[in-house]
Amino acid sequence: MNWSLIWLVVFAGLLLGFGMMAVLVIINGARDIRRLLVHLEESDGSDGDQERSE
Amino acid sequence: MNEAARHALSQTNFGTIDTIIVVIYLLVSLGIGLSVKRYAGSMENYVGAGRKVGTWLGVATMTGTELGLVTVMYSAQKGFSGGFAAFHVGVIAGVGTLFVGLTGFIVGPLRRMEVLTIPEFYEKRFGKKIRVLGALVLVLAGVLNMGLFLQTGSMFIVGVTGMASEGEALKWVMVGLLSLVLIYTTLGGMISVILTDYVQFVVLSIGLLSATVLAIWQLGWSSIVTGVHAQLGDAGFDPTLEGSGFGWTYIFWMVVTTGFVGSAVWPTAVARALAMESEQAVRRQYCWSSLSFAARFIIPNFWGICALVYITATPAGADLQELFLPEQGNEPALENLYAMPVFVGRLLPTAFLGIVTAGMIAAFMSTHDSYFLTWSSVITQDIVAPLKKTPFATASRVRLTRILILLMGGYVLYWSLFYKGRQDIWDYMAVTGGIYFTGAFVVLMMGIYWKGTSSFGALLGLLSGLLMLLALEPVQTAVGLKYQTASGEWVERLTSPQIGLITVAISIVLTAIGSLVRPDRADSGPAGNETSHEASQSPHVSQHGSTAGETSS
Repeated sequence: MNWSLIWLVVFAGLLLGFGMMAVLVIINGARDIRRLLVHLEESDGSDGDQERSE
Repeated sequence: MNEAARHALSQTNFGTIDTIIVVIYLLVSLGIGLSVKRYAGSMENYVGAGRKVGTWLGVATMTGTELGLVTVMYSAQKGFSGGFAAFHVGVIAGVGTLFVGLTGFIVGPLRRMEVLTIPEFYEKRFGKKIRVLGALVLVLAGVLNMGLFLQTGSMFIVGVTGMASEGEALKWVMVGLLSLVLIYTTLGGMISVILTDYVQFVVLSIGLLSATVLAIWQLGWSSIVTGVHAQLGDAGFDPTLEGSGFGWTYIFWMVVTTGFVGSAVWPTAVARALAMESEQAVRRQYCWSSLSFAARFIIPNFWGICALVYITATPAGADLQELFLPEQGNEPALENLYAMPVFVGRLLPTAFLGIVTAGMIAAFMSTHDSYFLTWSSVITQDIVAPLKKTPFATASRVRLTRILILLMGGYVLYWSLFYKGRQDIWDYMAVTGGIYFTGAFVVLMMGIYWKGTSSFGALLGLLSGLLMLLALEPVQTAVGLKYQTASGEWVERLTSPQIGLITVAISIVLTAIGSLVRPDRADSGPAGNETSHEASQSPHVSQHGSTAGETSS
């Protein structure tokens, strides 16, 4: 079995896949953060309203 | 340390510009962490970020958590000593995580049950006593597991900056890094952890990829392959050869530890899954994260390999050969964990080195914050809360979790300063983690997929994980499992992977026998035990969660 060739293929594939994933995560992750903060802001507000009504 | 060693270790391209880059990065991270403090009021937000984490942010935070600086260091160490053969660990990790993503193995049912922690599952399935016991074993293993994170991470910083040549630098770097992480984790909880994880992912991925490309460009792929062959022979490529330091037993052990446990059972990874907005998002997160789970081993392995080649086959690294690979009879070798950071410090140009170092500090921080938060919230949610007779207010829970984080910080500093073991860092991690996961893996898997698993079986399964303590090097030496011959050679009667595999087998057998001998009564709910006040009060646990029996196949 040619191990050095196997590891070359694995390594090259990994670098390519990881690079592609990094680009996708950086772009789409920023959008997810915006959504998360909007949600937290809303739940923060509704918690405050609830506390006031109590 | 002699003068030649001090001189060799002080050679680095790390300069003022790099320091500025690192400081700016640290300030930005701290600022982000503190800016979300106001959202951390409820326990669900503090521990689970309101369960509103989307897929891509989930991948970033999973990568940030699991690709820690300690991982980079121990994987580089494996690459340095094992060559390309070490790549098999990353391949197994990637394939295992992809399997979990495609099938939803363990994490799918857990997310459907809407539990926040693994011990919470134990309570729903087996009752309160198993929850507390499971949490105790988990915390014991988890806290031991992170004991060497600080020291190992700090070794990278002092190695890459040239500070390794100064005796006291390591201690001060440890204190500084630890303080920073404690501040933002204590105040912001999971929300700040996730947001800083994202920033850390950006810096880390750029640093990892660019440093790797630069290393290949500088050394040349064929020179690297030739260099490894010259040093390690075929064993540097074929992990099945016993002389490679791995072999089939080790590979099977890796299938358990990195293949399944690392992704589906390890609490810091599972905590990420349970914070996701849906089960579908969890599965997508795992499929994409399989690349990170492979990269977190293979890329640092490669850096370690490059360090080996740089030291043994290039004129520029010749002065390091006597330090790391001395001739027999000369001074003892320097800790080989330093090899990779010293190599990186010499290879990368100024400014670029600052970005990579910031990326590595990012890796350090993102792992520490998650581990601190996970273990402390397990103590609060799964040990203290179930045992309390009176209601446990949210504010008190958050306060206790913060105090526990600080206490753990003190422990980590103590352990980093005083623990003495000769195991490779990765093997130490696998062994300490095994105290928890050998039992938990079996109990979780059988609890989810076999209706017949009883609380008595779970009790035996969890306790059998404690056998893994026998694989910890100081314990092995104390009980005679490892001894030194008259010629000074160390001999192991049972290796750590063998003890690990035996423990998993014993756990499976005991869980099955215990469940058959003492099944739970059908009319008494989980294990015939009362559920805790916290669980019965929590809407996401009591109203929406399906029982494990419903998810059984």
